[in-house]
Order: sequence, then structure tokens, then C-alpha cells
Amino acid sequence: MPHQPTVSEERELGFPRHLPDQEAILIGRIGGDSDLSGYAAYYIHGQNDLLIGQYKQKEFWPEYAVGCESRLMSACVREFSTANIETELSSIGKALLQAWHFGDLTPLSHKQAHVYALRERGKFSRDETASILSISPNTVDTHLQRAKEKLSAAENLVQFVRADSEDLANARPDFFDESDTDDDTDSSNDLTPLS
Amino acid sequence: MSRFPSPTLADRIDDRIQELEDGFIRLGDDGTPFTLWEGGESLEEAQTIHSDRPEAEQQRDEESNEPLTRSLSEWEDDMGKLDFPLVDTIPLSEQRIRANRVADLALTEEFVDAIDRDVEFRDETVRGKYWRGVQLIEVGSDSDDFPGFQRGVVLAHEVGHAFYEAWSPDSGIEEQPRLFQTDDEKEQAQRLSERLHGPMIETDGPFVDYRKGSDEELAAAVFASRIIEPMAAQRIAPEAVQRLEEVFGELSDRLF
Repeated sequence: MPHQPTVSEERELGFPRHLPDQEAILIGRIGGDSDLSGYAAYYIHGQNDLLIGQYKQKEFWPEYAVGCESRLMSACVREFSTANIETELSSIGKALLQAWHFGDLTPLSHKQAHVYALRERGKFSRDETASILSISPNTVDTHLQRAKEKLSAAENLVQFVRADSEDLANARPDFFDESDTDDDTDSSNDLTPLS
Repeated sequence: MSRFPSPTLADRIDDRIQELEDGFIRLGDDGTPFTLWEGGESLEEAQTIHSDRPEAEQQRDEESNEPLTRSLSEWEDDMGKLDFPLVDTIPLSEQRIRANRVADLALTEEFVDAIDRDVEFRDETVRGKYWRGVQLIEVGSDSDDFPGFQRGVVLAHEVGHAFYEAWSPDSGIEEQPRLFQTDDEKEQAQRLSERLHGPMIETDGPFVDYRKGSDEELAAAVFASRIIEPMAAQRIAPEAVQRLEEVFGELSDRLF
């Protein structure tokens, strides 16, 4: 008797969001009127590839691979979204595309960018985010907290750069107080202004 | 592993099956020990010649895959360095033994939770599956098909998926290089994949054939070749095999 795959009840774009037994996360689908129209795009954890294929008999059947050099989810989503074919992103795909931009344009690390985009922009729950990224809920909390701290620090820096001398003279003494920052070793080295 | 991932690709792969004048059927343009099947009079004659050789010599010759020839005279001139397809190539029974050996190791060392054999898949093109979330391998029964789609190669291929999963990061937020990094390694891995399973499909769209574009699929193919026909794998794809041995060898001392 063949194994019957476990399938998420939540659907989007006509496909399950999550195929646990294939460790597959729905990223989007192919639109338009090409031969691949209606094909699903799933990111496969462990394999770290974004694959294109058909969903039938409760299984994803990959046929094509998106040629992404990086194994990061967000980088693969970026490749998929810019492919020379009409694509439609799932809500997870959209949040991960934002993560790619966050990682590129902000001081956030890739890990922090993925968590921040899903939690704060995609509004996914703590457990959903953990499931999407294949990490523990505690790791989600850690990355989210550090992301918020970094973005807040970057925002303060921007305010400082833009402030005129009179405002600075009246600034509260603790405005630049770094005594309450954590001891993360990379916290002071990668701080760059938001674009 | 499916023989044909989808009806769309099945049609295009079926077009690549050729009936040759000497009775062999061939998948693609390159005959390999895994893409040639059936055979006619020349095959029968070669089998007779081979069976007349001393038993020890037969066994020694069948332990490894040498370059192929379908010319009876050429083969007779140098049976030690050339193979006649389906005669002195590695027999299917020996391929199954080698695959079962590595499957047992994967079970013992808990890279795989369970292996179900003789599974009747709903889709008749499916030969085997690796369920990564539950670390389960399913393989079907042998059918009248090319050797590259029979149980030995299929089981070794699926075990390769299990080792790849053990090596690869679970999460998509971890930076880690792909197994095959250089162009030579990728090209050699593709060569072994085509040797086992026939030609890859050329695509005219923005995406590449799953077998070609997936690092894991290539790794599973190189792994299967390395298990089933180690000497040929090292001869044909030295760098890809070396890279695989380095990476997977760290997972288990007893693998290679």
C-alpha cells in the first residue's frame, strides 16, 4: 500500500500551502497561457530548491527547477518572480520576496529578514512562520527580536543624521545610550542607514 | 523516482526510444548498460560465448561495467576491456544486492526510517519514492523496462536522496553551498544521470529540466552510479564522484 501523503488543509491559488511529507511550501503558480500555465511552484526544504510541477493525487510532481544559485528561500523566490514567464506569488511567496529586499536594503541578516518579513509584513503567526522556514518557534522569536532592534537602531541613526544642531542640543541624553543593547557581536558592525 | 515525471514529459521521452537493427531498444542516442534493453540474435550469441567462459572469469567480468560495444567481433577480441550489453555487464541481481546493502546501512544508521518494497504505485510511471518528511522509501516491483529503471538502481537512487537530506540544511534560511559546485562537477553529474536514466529534456522556457537543475537529483544519480558501478562512476565522473564521497563520506564511515 503506497504511503498516503499528509496535506495541509489551507489552500491558496488552488494548491495546498504546505505538503508536510514532501517538506514543500507553496510559493506561487504559473499564470498566462503558456504550456506551464497552472503549474505550481513549491520550495522544498532540505533540497533547498524551488521546483515547478503539477499537483495531482495529493502530491507535488516536479518537472522543472528554478535555476537559483543561492539556497535561500527568498533568493529562489526572487528568481521565480523575475522569470521570463507570467507568475503569481502566494502570500508566503510575497512575504519572502519582501525578505529578499530587506536582506538587500537593510542591516538585517538573511535569517532576520526572512522572519521579519513573514511575521511583520505577511502577518503569519509565530508557529506558521516556524513551519514555513523549517525552524523552531523559539528561533523565530530570537530573529524577530534582533530584527526589530536593528531596524530601530537604524531608524535612530537616520533621525540623528537628519536632525539639525538645535534639535541635537535638546536631545535627551539617553538618545544615543547604547548601554541597553544586547551583546550580539555583529550588532555594531553592520549598522547602515536605511535607503 | 519516476520513469516519466508527467504525461507532458513522457511523450517527449518516449520519442527518444529507438528500436535498433540488432534487436536492442535504446533510450536516447547513447547506449549504456542502463539504457539498452531486449536485444536480438547477436545478444543470444554473445550470451552463449560468455557462458562458455570459465565461471571465475565470467564472475570477474560481471563485477564491473566496462565501455560497451554492440559489435560481436569487437567484443570477442577484447572481452576483458569491453562489455556486451546485458551479457557481461553487472547483472540486475548483483545491482539489487549492492543497492540492498547500502539500503540496510541507511536503515541501521537511521538515515532512513523504513523501506517498503513491491509497492504498487497508482501512477504506472513511478518506480520509487523518497518521502523526505517521514524518511520513508518506497520502491515498486521490477517490470519489463530499461535496467536504469529497475529495482537496484531505483533503490540506490532513493537512498541517495536520504543521504542528501542528512547533509543538506533543513531550513531555507541557512547559507550553504550546493553539493556540486564547479561546472565540471555538474557536467559530470549530469553525464551519470543520463547514463542511468537516458537523456534530459531540453526546455525552451525559463526553467530547466528538474533532473538537470536540482542539485539533489544529480546527487542521487551520482550516488546510485557510485553504489551500483563504482569503477565506471569514477572513470566517467571522477570529480563529481570525489565530491560526493567527501560530503557523504563524512556522514558515515561505512558508506564508501
